[in-house]
This record gives sequence, C-alpha cells and structure tokens, in this order.
Amino acid sequence: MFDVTRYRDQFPLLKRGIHGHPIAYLDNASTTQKPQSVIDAMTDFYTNHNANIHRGIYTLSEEATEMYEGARRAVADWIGARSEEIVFTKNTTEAINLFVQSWGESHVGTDDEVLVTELEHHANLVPWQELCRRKGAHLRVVPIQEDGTFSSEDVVALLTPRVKVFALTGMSNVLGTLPPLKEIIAKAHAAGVLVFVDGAQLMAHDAVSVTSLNCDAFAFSFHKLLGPTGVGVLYAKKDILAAMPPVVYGGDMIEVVEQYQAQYREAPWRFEAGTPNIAGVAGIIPAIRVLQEARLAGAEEYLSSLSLYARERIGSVDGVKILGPLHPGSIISFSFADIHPHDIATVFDTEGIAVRSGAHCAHPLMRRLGVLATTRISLHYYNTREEIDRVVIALEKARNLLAK
Amino acid sequence: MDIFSEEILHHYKHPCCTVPLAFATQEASGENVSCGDKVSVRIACAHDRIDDISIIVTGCAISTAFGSLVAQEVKGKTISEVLSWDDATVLSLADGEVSSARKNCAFLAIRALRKALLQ
Repeated sequence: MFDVTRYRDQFPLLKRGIHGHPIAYLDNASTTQKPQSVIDAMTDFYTNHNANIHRGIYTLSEEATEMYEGARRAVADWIGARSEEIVFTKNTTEAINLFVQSWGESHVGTDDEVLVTELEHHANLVPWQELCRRKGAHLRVVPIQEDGTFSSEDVVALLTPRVKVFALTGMSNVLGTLPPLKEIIAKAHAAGVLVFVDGAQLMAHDAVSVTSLNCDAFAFSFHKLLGPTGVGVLYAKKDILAAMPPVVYGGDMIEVVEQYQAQYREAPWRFEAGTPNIAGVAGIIPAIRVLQEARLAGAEEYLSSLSLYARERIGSVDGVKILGPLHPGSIISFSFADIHPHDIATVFDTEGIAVRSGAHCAHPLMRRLGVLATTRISLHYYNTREEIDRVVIALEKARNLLAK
Repeated sequence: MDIFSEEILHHYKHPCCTVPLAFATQEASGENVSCGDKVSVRIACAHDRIDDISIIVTGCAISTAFGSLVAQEVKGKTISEVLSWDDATVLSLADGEVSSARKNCAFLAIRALRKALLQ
C-alpha cells in the first residue's frame, strides 16, 4: 500500500508554510518538488566530486565522468533505450528544438508536410512552424473533439504521402489527454511517417518504454520528474541519431579540429557541446530511484484514485466546468463561474494552495476550447485528499469574494 | 488578510465608464495574451483634454478594477498630464499592493489608453 505520508517526508519543501497555511503544491505539470536525496546528490557533487567531465586525467574528473555517463546509462535503462540513444539537453524545449534543427533541417523539404495536433504546447509547435517557414513545407494539424481527444483514425486521415513527421504530445499539459500512442505510431510507420513524441507530461504519469512504444524520438525534462532543473533528454533511435548533424558546435563534440575544418564525434556526444549541467545530471539517479520505489509501492494507483476524487469533488462545486476527457487523469483544467483564473489563483495562494492559471503555453488549444485561460491543478504522488478538500473550500471563498 | 482591497472589489463589481462611447475621437484595444484579459478604450478629446472615456475590460478583478479607476481618474484631465503618469502613479490609484505577478493586469487599461492618446 502506498504510504503518502512517508513519501511526503522525503520532500523538504512540503513542510513550508505559505501565508500561514501548510503549502498545498498542485502545480506539478509545471515542475515537481525535489526529494532530499536529489538535493543531496547535487550538493555532494559540488562538495566532493566537482570537476569537468571527459577532459581530465585525474581522479576527480574520472569520478565526474563516470557519474555523468552512469546517469546516461540509468536513463537509457529506465526508458528501454540504449545509452548512445540518450542526448542530455537543458530541457524538453531544447530537446525538441535540437531535433527540429538537426533532423528536421536535413529531412524536411519544400512542399513536404509536418503533422502536429491542436493539443500541442508551444515548445512542440513553434519550432515546427519555423521549420516549415524556412523550408517551404506545410504544417498540418490533427483536430481534437470537444472533449480534447482524437483517435488514430483522425491521424490516418491526414497521413498523405508528403507527410515526413508527426510530432505529438504524449499527454496534454492542459487537459491530460492521453493520445493512443502505440496505435498511432504503428499507423504512422505503416505510412512511412516518423513519429516524435513530446513526453514532458507523460513521463510523470507512467513508466514509459520507448522500445514498446516504438516512437522514433522522444523528449522530456527531469525537473518534472523530481529531478533538478536544467536537465532534459532527447531520445532518438540509433540510426536516426546517426543521421543527424550537430547543431551546437564547440568543445567535447569534436573528434579532430584543424584550423579550417573539424570532424565531429559520434552520437550522442556530438550533440553535447561545452560543459553541461553536470551537477543537475548528478540528481538523475536519485530521482529515478524515488519514482521507481514509489511506483513499486503503488503510487500510480494512489494517484489514479486521488485524481478521481479530485475530479468528483471539484466537479461537484456549483459553477465548475472541467474541460477535457472524462478519464481520471492527474491534470485537471477547469473554469469556475465567471471568475477569472488569475483571481482564483490569487485567492488560492492566500490559502497556501499553488495552482497554475493562464493559457499554459497552449494558445491555439485555448482558442479551440473557446476559453481565454483556465485554472489548472496537476497532481503528483505527494498530494492528498485533504489538499483537494482545501481547494473546494478555497473555491467557495473565491465565489463569496468575487462572484458578480 | 485582504486579498483584494474593498476599493478593488468595488471597481471590479461596479466598474465605471463601461458604456461604449457613441462618438470617439480616438480608440485602441489591448490584450494580455498570457491570460486573455482584453480591453477596449474609446476617448472623446477636445483640444488637449479628455472629455469623455469608456474603458471596457473582459478579464480579471485587477484589470477590470484598474480599468475603472483609470477611466474615472482621467476624465477631464489633459492628455499631456495622463501621458506623464508613470507605473507608480497608476498603481497608486488603488489602495493596497498589487503583487508583481499581477502588475500586467493593473497596466492593461493604461497601456491601451496611451496607445489611443498617441494616435
């Protein structure tokens, strides 16, 4: 049985008070809190093992390098990939941009098509828009139903011979929609289309195996997975990565440099120029460990049950309209009476509750849903029913204060 | 603690000057794209003076309240005086503090008004 109290004890920030209330942190789709073991690993790196990687023939540098490459292997094992298929980036956004500017530039041409969906976060939309503009290619968009879902049939309808890539989210950061990835990927491959998955939210929701999904490339950030900020991952299949040219040039990604030309290293190091966020990478293995232990102890089932409780309790407040699909996902966007999400978030803050309000970096989706902004709650294993009950009380407080 | 001052709540629930001016010498609109707050400003100016104004905000409590406060304050004032207002002057139209996260809400109306006045 998952013990949420024991799990929470690992997170020092959850003991904070906000405006005289214990913090209820419900903005996990934005970033997650960090367990002490992750914080300690970063401090330990700087205290005892700090040196640059791949460069020094001395103990400290070897320790730092072994830690860094060990983290790469751990990530690969975790998602069912090979080490050489894992590129460390700053975050998901950088991973997506890297893929677009490297694979996209060399594989998408004039009058080709790039397929995205109406659900996309700007990070998995704007880079593809710019690619199409640069190359004279065309962006096509898979539409969603009123409930924020779409089917593989909706995708197939848009798979023309000119489509080179389908870039989609593994889980909507606004609605929690989970596209049927495996099915979609199979159908896209049958049509000769490569599939890129923005896994930023999906990775926090579920154990992902890229081999089982069979996606061609996948991006995510560790700060949404209990890890430090400044560490993201681009996974791509070995042969795809091998065909991708570097985008950022400099030290550590080169094999040989002459005065007027250089030869580059093989993947993944070819994509990691300069000194990376070594201390951040030191936080990866402890973060994976905490997540895996929690999942083995039933954390996902706990989260499903909590999400259902949240939807029922919040959904039953008069004037609340929950957007998106009816499944009990851990990301819940809603509107409340005619009270603006910013005002809801301000009232919540005075009660110690942290939620996200706004357009969630998904303006086209907001327009499609016919809303200007929403309030979003996104749960993690350390959230509790008591925190959801506090949300309901805070909604009534907002109503009393602001209803016209 | 007071989340919103009495004054802000009053101007949010009963904003001034929201009937669109039938006749305007200048108009402008504005938007905070990150949250969807929108404003539409219509002014009737004669010589250097703002004779009449309507400010219609579709948005949060802060942006609506400041739309009303600004409209109320500028009526009868000269254009040059209003254009000389800095951020602090605008914020001082209401009691209490506006948190840094909500300042863009407070400035929505004045920014659109400035656009209209400079036409």
